[in-house]
Amino acid sequence: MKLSALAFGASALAMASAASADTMTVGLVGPLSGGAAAWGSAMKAAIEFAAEDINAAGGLEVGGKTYTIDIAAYDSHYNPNDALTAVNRLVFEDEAAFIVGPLGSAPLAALVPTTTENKKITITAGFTPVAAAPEYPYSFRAVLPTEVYAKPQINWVVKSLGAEKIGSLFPNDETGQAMSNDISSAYEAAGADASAVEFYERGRVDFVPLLTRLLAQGIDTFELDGSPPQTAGLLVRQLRELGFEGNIVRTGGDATNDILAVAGPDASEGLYVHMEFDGGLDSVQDYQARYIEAYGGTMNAFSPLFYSNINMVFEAMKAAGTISDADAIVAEMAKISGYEGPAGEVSWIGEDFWGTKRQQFVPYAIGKVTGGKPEVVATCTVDACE
Amino acid sequence: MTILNENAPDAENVGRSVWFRIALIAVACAVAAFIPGLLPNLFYVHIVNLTLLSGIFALSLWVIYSVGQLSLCHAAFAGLGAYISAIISMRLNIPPALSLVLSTLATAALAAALGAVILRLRGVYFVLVTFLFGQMFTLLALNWAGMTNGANGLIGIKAVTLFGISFGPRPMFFYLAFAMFLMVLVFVWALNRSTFGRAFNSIEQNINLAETCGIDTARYQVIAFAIGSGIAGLGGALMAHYIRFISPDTFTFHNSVAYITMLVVGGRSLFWGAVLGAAFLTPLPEFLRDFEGLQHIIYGAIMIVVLRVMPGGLISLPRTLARIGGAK
Repeated sequence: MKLSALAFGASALAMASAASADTMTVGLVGPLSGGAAAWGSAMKAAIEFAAEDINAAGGLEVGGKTYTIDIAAYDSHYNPNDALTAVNRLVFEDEAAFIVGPLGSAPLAALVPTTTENKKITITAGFTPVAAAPEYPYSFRAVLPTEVYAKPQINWVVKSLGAEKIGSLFPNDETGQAMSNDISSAYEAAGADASAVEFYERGRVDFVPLLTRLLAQGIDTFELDGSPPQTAGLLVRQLRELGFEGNIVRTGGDATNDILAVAGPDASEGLYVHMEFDGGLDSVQDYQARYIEAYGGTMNAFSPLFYSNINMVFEAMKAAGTISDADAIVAEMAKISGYEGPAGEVSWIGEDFWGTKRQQFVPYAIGKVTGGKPEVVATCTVDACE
Repeated sequence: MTILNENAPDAENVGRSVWFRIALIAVACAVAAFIPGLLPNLFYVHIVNLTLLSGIFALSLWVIYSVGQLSLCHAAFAGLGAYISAIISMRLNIPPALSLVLSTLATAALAAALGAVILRLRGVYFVLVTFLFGQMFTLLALNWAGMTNGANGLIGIKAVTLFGISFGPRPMFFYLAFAMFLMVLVFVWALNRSTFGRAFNSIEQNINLAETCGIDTARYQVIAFAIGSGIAGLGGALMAHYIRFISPDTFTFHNSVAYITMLVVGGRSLFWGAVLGAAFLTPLPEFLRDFEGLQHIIYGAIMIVVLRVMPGGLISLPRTLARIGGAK
């Protein structure tokens, strides 16, 4: 009797869970190959970890239903056409609940009309103002753009390191041009001369002619921001090989581990880097250990930032009681404050910059590479680094 | 004395052939009317739309190839058409339907002016100069920020509207793209059968002999270059009003190479080859997307197999099959 009751209970439970178990597809469009793959892989790891956590806990309960998370990931090749085709597939074929990505301004500008028309939330890393523009209300950005961190960080560089004449190299595309404007104007505003600027085509590996031209202009500081991780490593190595002894600064876009891997610890010694968050936090250390265990190699700092933002979407879905009503989810996203992610406490900023509050902010830092590791030398808020 | 050519088609046969083609077009239109509704979802409509646009680009390149020249700046002319149409519709408030026409004509005119100079070159020299022109276009689009918005590109380009009907949504754009593709296809077919087409063919076969026969090769080459580039401009303008965003990254050297690949894989000998190449290669990466890391390897392997088995391109498939059948 007891046995049959138990069997009946078990089968009823199985039937109930079969009836309520649903799958939610989350899309990813990012550079999974090529020079920017380090960032794309970091984004992919973030969604994989978030899905793994939820599925291991029995799924995401929203509006009386339990969803297991499935991932559809496509390579954007850092190209607007490919990103747009991938997002069409995610929206119409995979019917993704929301989309992680894209990375890069041009891919974002190409696909944001489609995601807006179809009310799909995107968690992006495109540095264009389009990412936070009022006309695209479903676009959230996980990573701080140059526009936000350039001023406080560059003020610190000019004041604390005595930088006077800055040399910089940027990719000759929309991302590079946008960054060049932001970085140069921030240096000029801080009182330094940032007129020594050159542009290169993505994929280039020999920078000696361009660097020689910059060095001939008597620069005392070199700005690395804007270049993909591996390219930044090549620039550091070639600069040191050319005998440059001044400070090398990377104002944004985490690439420290890749720079160290490509340039080596000797050439990277004394490098000043932007740290997307305080790397000493226990939660970050745990996340990094998990990342290395799962994928090996080194972790790009974008990953925990995306992980936080992705989980905030899941939290907002639970609060809104829906996975499909993007307006309700966005409204709940706006209410989230003090969310504790692995990279620290998250808040929404952006009203002063774009008139919206869809930019994730985590206190960031400036590090100095010492003995092959970045050590925090200043911590930053939206206003200043100290 | 009248000499009768036994091979010459009689009036009845010609009439029958024309009616057959008209019937074929009518059937194609009837089938096309149902395509958006028959496809599983809008993603497939998007892929079909991109394929039709690729078909326009490949056909336009075939026109230039039909006079024996290979252009490496075809994407630049597509981009030129896209930028002209986007800019005049956004800044001068010209309806996109009209800006499509104007950009096509402007692109053809610019190509004619450029062609008059560079078509004096032949072979590898012409290819190199077209490559340089393509790079110049990219740099111009990047650095003339006041006009092109530089690397940030043009966002919010208007959709084509005709008689109050918007061709912005994917299924509606399909009808516009299909109509344009059909128009280009019929135009290229008619061109190929005209005096121009015969002159183009003679030049492609043997330019020196054609010149000796009194064909003004320079003039015909400029005409083919202008027509081909103008059609590419139309395709680019259509793409701009469909995607509603363009940047210098949208039309690069890689796109030019992709159009040439369509021509080679489809088959260069007939204009149908260009259409087949576009229809085969545009959706192929999408079918291979699920293979992630192996996508490029499989894509390359398929291309090698196609070219190894059918050096004449996909268009030679019936001949290849007949040969294999005969060998048995």
